[in-house]
Amino acid sequence: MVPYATLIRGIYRAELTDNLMSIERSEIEKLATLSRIAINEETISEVSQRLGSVLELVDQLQAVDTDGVEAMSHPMQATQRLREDEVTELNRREALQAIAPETEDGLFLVPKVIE
Amino acid sequence: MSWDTVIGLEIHVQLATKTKIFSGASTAYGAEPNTQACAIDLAMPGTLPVLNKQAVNYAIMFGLAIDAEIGQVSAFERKNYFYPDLPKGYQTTQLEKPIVGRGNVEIQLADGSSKIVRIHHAHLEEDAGKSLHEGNFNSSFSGIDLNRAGTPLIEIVSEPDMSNAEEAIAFAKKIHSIVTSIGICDGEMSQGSMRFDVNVSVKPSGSDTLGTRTETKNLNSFKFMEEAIKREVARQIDVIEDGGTIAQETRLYNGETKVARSMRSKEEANDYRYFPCPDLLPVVVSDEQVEELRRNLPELPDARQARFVEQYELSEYDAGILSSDAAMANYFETATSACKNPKLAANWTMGELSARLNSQDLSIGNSPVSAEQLAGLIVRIADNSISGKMAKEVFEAIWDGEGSADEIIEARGLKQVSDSGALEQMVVDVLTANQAMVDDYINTDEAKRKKKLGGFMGKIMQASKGQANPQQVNQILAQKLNELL
Repeated sequence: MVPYATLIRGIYRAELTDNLMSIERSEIEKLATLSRIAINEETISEVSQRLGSVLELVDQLQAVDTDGVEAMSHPMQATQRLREDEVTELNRREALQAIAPETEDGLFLVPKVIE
Repeated sequence: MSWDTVIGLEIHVQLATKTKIFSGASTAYGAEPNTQACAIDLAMPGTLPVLNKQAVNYAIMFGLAIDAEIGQVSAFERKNYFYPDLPKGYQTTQLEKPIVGRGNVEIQLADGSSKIVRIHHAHLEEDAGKSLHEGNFNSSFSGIDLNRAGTPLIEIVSEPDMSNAEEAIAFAKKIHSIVTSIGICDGEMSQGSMRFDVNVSVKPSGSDTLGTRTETKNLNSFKFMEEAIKREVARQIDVIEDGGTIAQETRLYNGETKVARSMRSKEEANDYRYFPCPDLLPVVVSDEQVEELRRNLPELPDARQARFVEQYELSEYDAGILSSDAAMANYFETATSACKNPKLAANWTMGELSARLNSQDLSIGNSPVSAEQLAGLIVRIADNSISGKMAKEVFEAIWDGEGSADEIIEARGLKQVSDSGALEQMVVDVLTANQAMVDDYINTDEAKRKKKLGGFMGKIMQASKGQANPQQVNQILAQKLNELL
């Protein structure tokens, strides 16, 4: 499998119709829910077309024979630099909370969430 | 119909680093909300993660401790979901290339047998923040504390190799023992340093087909874990025997009410849309780094147990208990080296001290009685300065902060009288004052006389206010009475 296919693992369930990829409405709705993006009726077919063209590109990649090619997790030929385990970030709560919509007793307040 | 239970565990272990996995903010427990949450932890635009070297080393040390393959190249992925205590909208974790591969953990069971539990893998990831649903704020809000966000974790994933609650608990305790022994986790369960997710399914005895499993998440004590497993096994058997089927779902167990409820079903399961994290490059671990960590790996619990048996002549059982908890093992060794009496140090550490700590929900690291203080008490027990009964009184006083054993013995006048001249006088005084008892003793059959000694002992100990050395009194008394016959 082409490694970057993992990028679209969640959406690569499209069906081929002639040469044009399109994504079913239910898939678009599910993706929108998962991504917390509001997609309205007017734009849904445009989104479907655009995602479809991304999938076409992926489909071309899928056609490449990658047997024996090591999966790549990053395009740069470099490795992760590591940091010493020393405290470098001190308390800046006041500054960081000055730009928050709501705070109380040092907590960030958000609309109530209960699982 | 009889049933087999199949259990697998996912264990989240907070690593004992000073700072977060991707930022230089402190991970110290108990700070004021959001005072240890920096711009990176808050997912401010423009920030980038930089991986903590110590977190990587700790993960490798765990791999070495369970004889696992270490991933020479490991990579980070993004696990996408929305929740307010996860500001980035994704958790940075490892999926395809975890840092620790397959390994094995041996567990010991109550019947003396042992069993291998296979580890599927262990990976590095970041913890989320905390959501508070009640507090000093408008009840239509939740409060978010991001101090914990970005705390390094390893998630240890076992194979479904356990077949009852006892095995699952033994495995969980063994992991606790390993991570605390090698010093990569403080093991403080009450502070959330280790959390367990339990996967449980049942199948007809002997069947090769696994049943549908449920996952009970976020158990933070061995006791809750045991209860949750037993209840879930019973629930699944009930459902199946009543003709129902088990739904694959995630459940939450409430330790207070002892009730588990469904959190989400498979249908509404999160679709995490993992993908490689473009902000982090592959992590390459060199052979030299692994070998250096291997050379410096602290003693593992099994090796420590064997050493305690060998070096201190403890029983396998005692050595097993003491070595299972790194803090307890260290306490025992510190006390032993100060008092040179491993048997008494072991008994007091596992007995009186553990009982008191448990009753007050304290860990041994926070014991009001230090190992040195306990050693001071043991020295006075061993040299017969105080009796066993007095030792408990002295222990209580040390616990209450009244000072060292010697100070307390002195202040309370508890020192046993072992001076034979003084004891002899005491015995003679008691015999003189109780002539009737002495006559009775003399007139009793020789075979039954022994039973009469207790009466004299009681009077003598009373006269000495409990401070006479009983062994010595016994000797002197027998000798004095013999002279009268």
